[in-house]
Amino acid sequence: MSASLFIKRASLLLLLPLFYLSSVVLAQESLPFVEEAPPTKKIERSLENIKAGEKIYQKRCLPCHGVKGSSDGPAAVYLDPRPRDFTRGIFKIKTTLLDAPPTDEDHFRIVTRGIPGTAMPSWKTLLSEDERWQVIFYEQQTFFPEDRKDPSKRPAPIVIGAEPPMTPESIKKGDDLFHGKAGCFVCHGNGGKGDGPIATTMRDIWGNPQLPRNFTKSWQFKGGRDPKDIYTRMTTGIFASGMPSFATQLTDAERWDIAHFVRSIQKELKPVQSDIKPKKISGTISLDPNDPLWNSVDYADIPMSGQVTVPPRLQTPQIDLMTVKAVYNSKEVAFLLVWDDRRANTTHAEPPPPPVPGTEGYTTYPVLYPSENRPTGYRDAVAVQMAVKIPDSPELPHFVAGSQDKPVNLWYWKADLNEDPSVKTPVEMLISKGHKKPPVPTKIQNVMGKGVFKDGQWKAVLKRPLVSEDPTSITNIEPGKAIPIAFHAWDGNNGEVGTQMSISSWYFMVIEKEVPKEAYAYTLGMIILVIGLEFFVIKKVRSKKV
Amino acid sequence: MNESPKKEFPIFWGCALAVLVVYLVFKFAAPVISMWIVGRTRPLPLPRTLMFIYTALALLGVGLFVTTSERKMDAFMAPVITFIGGGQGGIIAIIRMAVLVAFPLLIGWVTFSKAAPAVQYLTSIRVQHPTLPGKFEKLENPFRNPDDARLKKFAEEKGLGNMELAKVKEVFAEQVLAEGRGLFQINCRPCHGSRANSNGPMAWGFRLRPADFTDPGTIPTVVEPYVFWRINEGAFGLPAESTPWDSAMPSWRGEIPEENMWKIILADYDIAGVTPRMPEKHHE
Repeated sequence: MSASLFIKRASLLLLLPLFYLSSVVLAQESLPFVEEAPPTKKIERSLENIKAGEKIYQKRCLPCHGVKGSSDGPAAVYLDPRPRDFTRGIFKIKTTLLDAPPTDEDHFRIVTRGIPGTAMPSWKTLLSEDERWQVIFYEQQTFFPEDRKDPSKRPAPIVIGAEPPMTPESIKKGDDLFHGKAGCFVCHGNGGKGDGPIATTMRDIWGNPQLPRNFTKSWQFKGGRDPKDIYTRMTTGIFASGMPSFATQLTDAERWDIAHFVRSIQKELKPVQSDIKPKKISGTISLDPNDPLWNSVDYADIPMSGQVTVPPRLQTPQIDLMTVKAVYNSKEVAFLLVWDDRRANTTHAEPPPPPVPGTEGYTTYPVLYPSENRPTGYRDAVAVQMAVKIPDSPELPHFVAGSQDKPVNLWYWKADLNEDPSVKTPVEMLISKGHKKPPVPTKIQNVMGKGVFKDGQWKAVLKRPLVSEDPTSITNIEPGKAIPIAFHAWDGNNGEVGTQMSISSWYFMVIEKEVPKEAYAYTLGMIILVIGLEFFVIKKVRSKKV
Repeated sequence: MNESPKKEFPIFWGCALAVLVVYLVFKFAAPVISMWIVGRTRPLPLPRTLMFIYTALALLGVGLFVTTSERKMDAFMAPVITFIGGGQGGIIAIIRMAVLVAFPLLIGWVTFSKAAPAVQYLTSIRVQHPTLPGKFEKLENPFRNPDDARLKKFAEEKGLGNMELAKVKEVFAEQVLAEGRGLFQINCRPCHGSRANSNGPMAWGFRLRPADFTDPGTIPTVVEPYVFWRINEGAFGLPAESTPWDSAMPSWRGEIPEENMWKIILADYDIAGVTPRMPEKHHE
């Protein structure tokens, strides 16, 4: 056996237990940050390469972009944004002005990087550089309009100079421009959360809803989050969307300043490490989400996905993050939930009954086009989900709505009730016994709450007594126990209602038990004992030496 | 731990070095090696218990080695005794003092963490591949090796009457695969990703990651009916040891016709670039 083979086998043996234990891999590394495309050597636009590209296209691209390349693939109508229609030859993320066709390198960059927040993945590790070029040449040659096919007839890209340093002065200038002369706030909102006055009525030139970017969410930048990317988008504009080109309106330096400002308001994620640990406070807990008591409380970011497990599903959720703070005193536990939402939706119309699986025209996911058919008119809402019984075995209720024998509670805050002065509390305490039946109110309604909306963000406080008499809800939020907890959220503007919502996985909430006095006594005793032992040993050793 | 060389290397430091090397190998080299062996871009996670076991084994080995003879034992203990006894000056005196102070504190800390109330966690190791229920075992993908009758029917429908059956089979396979890819991108892509590498946009919020089909530990290691079972029953069909409560996998029965499920399975393997395990043949 050769040495290297032996080493490989031996290391395999040592790693065997890993294979077994590695089955639970947390989703920490799935953050879709855009990476820079590597410098590349372009291949020749030959018939041979175009032919090779066809095969790749059919396997990898056709299900979305379609046989005709016109976004006519079977999956296209379920996606938002809709896959690019190559037959128009119009692209958004590129280095040429407005509606000018992209350069080959632009096309290559998108295929390599992918586009965060869309169905377009990065093909970097799966397709070789040559293969990426082949499929690009195929797409251009087959689907582009005649006048856009010839690369020599395409306009030149913009020239991007060296980035000036990102100084506090530059950020400040960018801030002023953003809220002043450049008018960015009209769409992107005062805080840059994409909630400007005209944000939710915007349409692209094909009539589909077009939401301005929320700049605080660093992971959502489609063309990259770095100042250089932002500068480029501002210079070229994003054609077909509402984003104009600022190439003539703003100087080069001004565009860099705004790019720096936008970069500076991007939020970094702080995913919850293990548990949600409410902080102990001595006073009363106010229902005001802006109460200063929350300022000193640590927060956890909970990533949210669309609910895709049971029908009706949602794969285009608006709320992808819930920021959670929690406190408790001797009587109550309270949560402060904070999430971004471009508009407050405080009215509600009951949705029609959901389509029945197996019937004519049933689809597993909602069809999103034509976009006028998308439902609206629902309220914004948020819910804290907890197991009704603190589990006494590793088995938990299912994280989507629990089950008959393992029910869950929902502390269901509703924005329409929040605005209604006649109701006692905007939070309903519900019990859910599985997704097949809608949740029903528990016997005792004891959750209080209040939400406020400002600058594209909801903040809601929900609080409940630690102990309840009601057997249909968790009776004792007991210190020292790991209590399964999850979060749901609905954006009414996005047609989210019922099981069409954002959802999180299970986390655990732990209220720490107070340390008994004996623990300190034991510790002190032990330390004294060990010190005594040390003296004894030293003495012994020294006497032996002598 | 090699046999002691001719010129004596201090046994104590030799042993300390050996334990350190073992620790470093698992801390830094193992992640790299795991990527190399499995051919993935991310290292396999190394559980802390495993780290503990290997380090403990190394310590045990040292203990065995040292206690094989009186001479080794004395040689091993000599620097320890000198150190504890004191009398050395300079930096060593300071280190000695630090150790003498730190040791009781360490024991105190251990005592405190034992005496203070701990949170009750009830967790179990997740079984990734629970046993395939018997009723699924014998199923076969009707599209992987279509019989002549199916091919003839297909040829008729498509007006390929004169084509050789072998050629029809190719056209049939391509057609089925195309349908499967479309169905995969509609139904599975939100979580499993366009490339079937578990990077779909919906994977973001799920702590139990969707299966990465390009990983040799997922669909390549099971037979096709196993995948058929998973698509049919999803999270709700998993036994308790596979933590169904954390799984977002839908039960597609009643929503996706069975024929389409088999087409999706073909596409799963095709998109991920892997092949299913072949069922074992038994003697008649």
